[in-house]
Amino acid sequence: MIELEGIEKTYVSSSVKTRVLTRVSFRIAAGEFVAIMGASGTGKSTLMNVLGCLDKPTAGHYRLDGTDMVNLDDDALSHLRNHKIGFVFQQFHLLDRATALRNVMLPLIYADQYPEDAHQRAEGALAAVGLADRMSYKPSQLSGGQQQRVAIARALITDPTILLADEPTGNLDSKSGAEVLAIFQRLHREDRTIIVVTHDRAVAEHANRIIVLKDGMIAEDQPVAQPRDAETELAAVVGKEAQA
Amino acid sequence: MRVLRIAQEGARALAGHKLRTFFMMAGTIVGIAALTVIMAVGKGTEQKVMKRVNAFGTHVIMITAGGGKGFSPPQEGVTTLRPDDAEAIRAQVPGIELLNVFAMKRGPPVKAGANQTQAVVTATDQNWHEAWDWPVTDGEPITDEDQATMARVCVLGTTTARELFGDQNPIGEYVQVGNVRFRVKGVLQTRGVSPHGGDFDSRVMIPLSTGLRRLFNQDHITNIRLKVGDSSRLTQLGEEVRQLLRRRHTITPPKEDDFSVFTAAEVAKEARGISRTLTYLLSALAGLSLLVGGIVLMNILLISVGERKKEIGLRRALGATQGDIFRQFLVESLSVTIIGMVTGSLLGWAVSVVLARVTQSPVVISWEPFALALAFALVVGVFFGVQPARRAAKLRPVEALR
Amino acid sequence: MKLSRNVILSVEILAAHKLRTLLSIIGIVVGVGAVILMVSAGNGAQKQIVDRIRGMGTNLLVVNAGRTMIVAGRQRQMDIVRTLTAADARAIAGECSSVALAAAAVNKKMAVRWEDQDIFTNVTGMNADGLTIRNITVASGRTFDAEESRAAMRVAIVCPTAAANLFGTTDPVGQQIRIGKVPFEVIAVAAPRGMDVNGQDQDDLIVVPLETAMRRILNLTYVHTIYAQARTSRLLDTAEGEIAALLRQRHRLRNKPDDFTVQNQATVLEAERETTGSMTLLIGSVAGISLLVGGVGILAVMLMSVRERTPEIGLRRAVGALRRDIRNQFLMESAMLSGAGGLAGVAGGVGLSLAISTLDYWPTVISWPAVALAFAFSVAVGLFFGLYPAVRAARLEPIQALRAE
Repeated sequence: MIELEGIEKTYVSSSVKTRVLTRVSFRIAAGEFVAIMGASGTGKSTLMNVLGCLDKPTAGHYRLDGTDMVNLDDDALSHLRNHKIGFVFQQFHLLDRATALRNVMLPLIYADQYPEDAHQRAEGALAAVGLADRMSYKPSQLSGGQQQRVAIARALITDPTILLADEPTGNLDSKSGAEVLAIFQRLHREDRTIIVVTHDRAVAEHANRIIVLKDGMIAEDQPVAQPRDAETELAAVVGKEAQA
Repeated sequence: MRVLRIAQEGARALAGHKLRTFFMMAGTIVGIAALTVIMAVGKGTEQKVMKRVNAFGTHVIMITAGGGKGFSPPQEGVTTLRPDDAEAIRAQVPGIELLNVFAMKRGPPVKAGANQTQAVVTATDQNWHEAWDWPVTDGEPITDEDQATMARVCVLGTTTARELFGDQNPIGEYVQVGNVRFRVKGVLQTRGVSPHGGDFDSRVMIPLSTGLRRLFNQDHITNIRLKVGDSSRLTQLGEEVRQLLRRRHTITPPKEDDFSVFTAAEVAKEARGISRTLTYLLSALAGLSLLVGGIVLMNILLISVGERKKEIGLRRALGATQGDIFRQFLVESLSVTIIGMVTGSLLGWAVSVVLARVTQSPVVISWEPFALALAFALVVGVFFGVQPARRAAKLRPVEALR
Repeated sequence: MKLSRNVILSVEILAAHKLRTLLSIIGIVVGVGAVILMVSAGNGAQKQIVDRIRGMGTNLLVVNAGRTMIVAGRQRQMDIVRTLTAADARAIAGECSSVALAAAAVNKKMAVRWEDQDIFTNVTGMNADGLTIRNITVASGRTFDAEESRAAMRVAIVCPTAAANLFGTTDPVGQQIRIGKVPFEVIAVAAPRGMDVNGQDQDDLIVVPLETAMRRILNLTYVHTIYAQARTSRLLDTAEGEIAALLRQRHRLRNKPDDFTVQNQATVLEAERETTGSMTLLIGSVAGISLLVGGVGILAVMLMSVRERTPEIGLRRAVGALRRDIRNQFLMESAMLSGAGGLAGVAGGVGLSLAISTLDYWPTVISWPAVALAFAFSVAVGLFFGLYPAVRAARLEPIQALRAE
């Protein structure tokens, strides 16, 4: 239900044109777990922005669940993001002065209809990521891994079509990173569509399919034969800690 | 409602940064407080002025013999104001309800038996009591019969009555003014302080005819008091009277009038002095500080937009539209000015109350400053909030999140 | 760090955020400008009043018969007293050592006629000394000589406004007029003197010799007023005392209250100065509120600036800057900010003051000490409101500062 057709993105700054994405085309079906890989400067951030409806391509078509981005104005894009996209950022981007619960509820503020059970939904989402007992904690009182889990709960609250994660483990230690990837894999088993953008092959290999970008173009698009299992890795790390 | 949710987000943002919010409010608080105090004091002074005008008479035109600036007692030696001037006014100027002609003299000693005092001797016609709304509380007033018969009767003011007769009832007794004896037939109601600051109750009233012919031995009068039906035409009628008298006394500018015409409006202007101008000036200066406060508010908000780039980018990523962001920041700005206005008004009110007690000068708390303050708060909040709000809304999410 | 380096650094940083810098100083500019403008206007008004008071006569003392009160802006005599005489004036001139000149005067507002023109004007009887004391000088014609005064001749000096009202464009000198019922010859026109402190036109006046007025017009044996001139302005209070004592003795008052009032120009001047002074203070203070609000603005902006530049502060400390270097740097910035605003405000305030004075809207007198004070105050505001942020910046620990996002 994600269709990219001939996506191009060119930046113009003081009469210098830089083409960042060239003829990017692929399809992602519902329920897939895809990793988009590439070194910095390969255009993977730009591709993520397009996928996340944060930026419009200069040419080509991006169809999400049948809707073509090309015709949408700013307000419509905002609306789409609210409904269909759940973001998880490398820097977490939580509101410092709000509790975990309020952070999770934030997307609902911008929804068309504020649900009556907003509170309960948020509590449920936090429980699903294992933070039921940390609802009223502020980000400064949570570890990096916990903060990212709050971000995941936030991303899920609107029941989006895709979960879009940008280097989700970039700021985390190996244990927290494994926890986060474990959650993603669980969500995948529950039929969520997940797209992770990363430069780290080890992270990308937790997905079921890897798309590699090089110089703004797709270099590879292959399924992963045997994805790494985050749960196992987590157990290993915990074991090491117990031994130390 | 979406707008309400957005407003809540704005309120939360303010509450989360109390110090910054306080700084944003500072100008509004101080400016509104100053404005409130200034207006309260101004109103108090205005009230004082109105009291003076009411003492003068809101429907009254007073003609005094002798020119010169300022509302003052008649000048000695001016003999050009005459009873037929009054007749001419009655005949030719429309809208005059009542005419009272009198001649005042200060100085001739008033004696009663062994007691003597000084008072203002006023020779007047029978319209006096109605023209001045000044009845007798004891005995009888000057009547047209007294006037017609040149009766040698008088009505005393309470101060004079007391000075001559002590606690004794003066009705029926005799007083001597100059070399004429008058029988006391009434005592006037107590009035207090005159518009010139003297004792209004130190007076002896005698019939006009008796006064002019028997006592003063003159043809001229010192004053004409006119009561007008429609107070909105006071200034206009005053001018008509002035023109009429100039014609009758053959006065052409630049020659000065040998009379002065005063209406309540002019009395008010004189009593006010510079206080009204002063109030306006001070209010403008207070308004200036409000403006400066608005600029400070805008500056702080602009800087905070810069600081909150990531937050704005996040909200946009989560689905906030440009309009949502704009409205949130505008709400923040408006909330600051409105809360500042309330705080400033309360502060100003408190200071006014203390000021009234300490200086014992009149201070009036009314609703006008609050309404004005609210209007200011709204205007300043919107005007100085728009620019930062637009900047915030126009931030591109991709750049903001970087 | 050296002062000059601090200054250059501060300027660079302030220039980097032009809009923010501009907005930050607007409050100071407006506040300082408003204060200077209001104070100049107040001083201008005060000068105008002082000039008027002085214009009535140098080192002037006025002795009035009986009690007088200011009613509706004019001196009004509250009772009729006949005890003040021309002899009293001569005695004052002779026996009071601090008095240079003294002259008796009578006045009355009267009808004056020339050919078929009637006016109603002030008529004063005064001799040559009185003319000197009251600054009445002859513009055309000649003044009374001693012979005319003594013989009570019927000569008159007409002041400009009365002259214009009565004669129009005809030259008054040599004309015959009637004052009351008495015929006079006009021998001079006086130079204009303008308005007195009560707003009365001093030029609406006709002056005749004292004797003439007393004997031929008014039929009086007593006088209304004695004008006196003290030798120096510092002797004014002494003169007031001497005159009062002398008159009390001559009028044999013993325990009774004064039957005269003495007004001393210095006292009047002082009273006026106080009134306008406190008014200027009030207005200036309210104008200064803007300055204060501007100061708060600077405080807020500096705090935010410190927060933004935390990494930079950490770096500076890491390479060897002392706490006080950091503090001084930020203090310098806020002082420069408000100082720049103060300069602009001074320029604006002075410029506006000059403009409205030149355009005749309102008299202004620029008090340079006040300007310097306002500028100093603006710098002080910057230092005061910038102290807290500067101290906070200095207190940052380098490691935490460097780590901050």
